[in-house]
Amino acid sequence: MSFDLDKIAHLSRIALSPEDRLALGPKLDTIVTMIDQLQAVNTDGIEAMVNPMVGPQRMRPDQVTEHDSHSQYQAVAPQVAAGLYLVPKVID
Amino acid sequence: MHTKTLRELSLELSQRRISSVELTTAYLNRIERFEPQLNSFITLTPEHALAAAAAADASIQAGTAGPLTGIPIVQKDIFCTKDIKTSCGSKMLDNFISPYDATVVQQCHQAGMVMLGKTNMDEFAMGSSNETSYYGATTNPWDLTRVPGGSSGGSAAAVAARLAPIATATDTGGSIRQPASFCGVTGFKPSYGRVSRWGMIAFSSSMDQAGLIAPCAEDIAMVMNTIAGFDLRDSTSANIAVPDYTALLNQDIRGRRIGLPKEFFAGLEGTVADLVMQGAKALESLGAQLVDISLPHVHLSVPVYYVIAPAECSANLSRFDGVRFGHRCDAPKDLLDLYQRSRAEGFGAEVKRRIMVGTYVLSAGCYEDYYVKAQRVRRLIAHDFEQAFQAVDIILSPTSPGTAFKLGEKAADPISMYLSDIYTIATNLAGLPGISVPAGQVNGLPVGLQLTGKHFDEASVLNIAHRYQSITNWHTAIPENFA
Repeated sequence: MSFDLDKIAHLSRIALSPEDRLALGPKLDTIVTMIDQLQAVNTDGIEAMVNPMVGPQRMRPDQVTEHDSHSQYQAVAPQVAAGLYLVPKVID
Repeated sequence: MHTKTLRELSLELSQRRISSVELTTAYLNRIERFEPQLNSFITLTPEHALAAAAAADASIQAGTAGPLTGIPIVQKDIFCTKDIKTSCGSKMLDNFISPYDATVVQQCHQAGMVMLGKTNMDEFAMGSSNETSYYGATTNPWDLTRVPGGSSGGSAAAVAARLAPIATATDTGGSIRQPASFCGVTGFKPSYGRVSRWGMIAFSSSMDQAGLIAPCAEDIAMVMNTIAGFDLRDSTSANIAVPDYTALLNQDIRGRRIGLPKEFFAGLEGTVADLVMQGAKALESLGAQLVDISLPHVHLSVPVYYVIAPAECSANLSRFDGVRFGHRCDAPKDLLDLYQRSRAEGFGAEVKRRIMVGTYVLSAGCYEDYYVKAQRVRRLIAHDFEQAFQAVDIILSPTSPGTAFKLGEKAADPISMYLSDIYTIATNLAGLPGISVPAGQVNGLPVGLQLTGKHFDEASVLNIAHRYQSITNWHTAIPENFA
């Protein structure tokens, strides 16, 4: 599958300038060529290794354990009002 | 004072031959004098440090101090520090004041350690040279025209120049061990799950691990006793008992089997190979046995890593969207514009590159062929290590194919940069502990020797490293201009 720069940039939610396209495009192609080596490896019957943990990932009881830190965490937010994060209008 | 090990400084403090305030002031003075040449810090915290030092001195006077009370430390700027800027080397977090401390930071604070500042790093831990930092490159104290390695380049340079006795660092593909090798210091990556990742800004969640950089393994063992262990807040934290690493340092290594992977030594020539083999022979002189082993799939480590790490980073860095924290673009016209421009402005080129590779390998039509495929090959690589560890206790190799390269030399060629981690990456894929120890110099530039151990056998790795350092003195060398 070829690398569609515009599609991938959109999925990544990153705006690409003309300079970015020139700088990124060829280098992304060489990286994809490098990782394509894996296609030649026989992995029949091999289970995917999601992480190197010994044993399953721990679950915890479904209980509230944290206290409300709203104001503390929102102190670093770009724009807030009435405890809400402000963003450009989504719905007209 | 700066030439003393952490253990020696601990003795000086406990016997009140020096106060923590005096020691901290001495290091802050060294930082003021030498830091302009290195750019190893992003944020200095002198007031915070002196307050912590005074509290440490009170604890020492009261008889309530521990072995690390009053010892200065620097924290890689990937660890959240409460009320102190935490940038991860990125413009995206240039305005971020963390509302909480990472577990590792809390542990060091509770042990009475004194934080001098936050060290420079490759942006979001993506890099092998410390050149991708928004705050500029860090230089190598051994040669200021060369890189210190990365991504923990600031931590490695600061310790090598003796601006701090020890530093925290992180390692996802070699980011502790490779800069330690380039800077002539000791760098340790514990097993995945051994040290909490809570509050450590995530890059690749199945490989990231916190660790330490110091002149020697003994100093690392002292702080490992504090930072290793189970953390309820990290769902990947291992609930396995932590031994006293310092008590196990001097164990006899006679009969320990040290594996030399033929794949790592084939085609490796020159002084780096000679020095690493001399290191192997040194361990043999202590009674260890050298055993030839094979890791047949290890040559696939770099392509596997450059599928999995970008995939995981594309997910982890999606939180940086200009909404709740970090950089936001000016006057966004709609929500999509807010996301796209905030991220375009906030991230550097290497981070954008990796996010886009990661998005690609996870996208419809690619997921099975790239991401799942890479995970299957990852299991083959991990299995090679399991097989090898049936026959040996430790695996020995070079840390890096060469010594520190010139600033700018590899910046335009990402593949060449990625290949400098060729010996370190497999350890992260398999989740194993690994250490780099100084093993000599080539034309005045340090060379590192790497030891990789079994899962949660940090004790053996530190033991063998310490015994090696008991009969060599490469780890005591300080760059001439910083002596």
